[in-house]
Amino acid sequence: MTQTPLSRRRLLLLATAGTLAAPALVACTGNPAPVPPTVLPSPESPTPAATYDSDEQLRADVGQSELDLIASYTAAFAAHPKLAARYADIAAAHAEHLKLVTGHDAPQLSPLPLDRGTNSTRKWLAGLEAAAADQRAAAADNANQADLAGLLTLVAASEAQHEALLRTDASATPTPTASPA
Amino acid sequence: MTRAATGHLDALQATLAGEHAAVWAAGRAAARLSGEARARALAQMEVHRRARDRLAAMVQATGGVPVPAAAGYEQPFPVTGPDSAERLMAQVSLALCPLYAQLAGTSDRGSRSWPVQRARQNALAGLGWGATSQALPGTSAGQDPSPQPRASSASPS
Repeated sequence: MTQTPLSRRRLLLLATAGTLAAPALVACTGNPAPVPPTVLPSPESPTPAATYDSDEQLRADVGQSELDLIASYTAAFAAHPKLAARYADIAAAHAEHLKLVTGHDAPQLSPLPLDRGTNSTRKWLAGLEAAAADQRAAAADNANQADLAGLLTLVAASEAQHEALLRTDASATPTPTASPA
Repeated sequence: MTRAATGHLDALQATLAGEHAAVWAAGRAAARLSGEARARALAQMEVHRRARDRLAAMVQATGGVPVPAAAGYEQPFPVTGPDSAERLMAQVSLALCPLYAQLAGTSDRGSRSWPVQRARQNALAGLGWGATSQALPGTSAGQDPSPQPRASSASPS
């Protein structure tokens, strides 16, 4: 085997060196940090797959999407604290994705209101993860830099895992039957 | 051959070697599994075989000679029953994710859907065999090592 596959260490080194995520690049291009959402995202209205002229724009869009996901988990955990123990690692994974793609740490967010039951929240998060995985896959196909394409491939794979985990949990949780009128 | 083309060929060969190991591991695991789990391992072995054949064809199309399967592999840990068999399946599935990510990176822009899809499939397969979800599947420190070719030989075919 002559090629070293992408390792976590290499990805972190690339991010630190500015090849991948590049705080320095963000600074020199004036690319702002992602802005926390004021409305929670919906999987029914995903961001359409974009064609990018530059990796900087691609990173900014992916970073915004990761921040939207972090805000969604923040809202979910505030509304249903028992979900926090189960899905804290997923929220942490999105913070890592944000850092690797944009160089920005996830900010402390105030939870937005979420009016959903526990299992409905799982299904909603699963839908967001599915949309995110598809968007990352499309972004990987669009990236100019090889390492960025590789990173986004792994992010897409991670988010596909999140969706599967959430859907499995949602299926395993009995849905309350409606009371007779 | 340009440096980029060499890098792509190297990534193809590395991923092909990973699929060879996965075919071997799935056979090894299936022998220790039964029922639905055995059927799933055998089904995934077939998927790995098809991916292996596709990668070999891609290597040839790039002007290379596909790396052969090793005559044997060192087990990363003893596979003695269903639990270790499932752990082996999880390990080989996850180990393929960074290989396909590397391959996606060396592939031309607009031509990466298959390696991206394979990374996703293998991440899900790993989860199905009991692995935990990971921020970057297959790259975590402390992960089980991959099956390695035995030092002695490669198969003649």
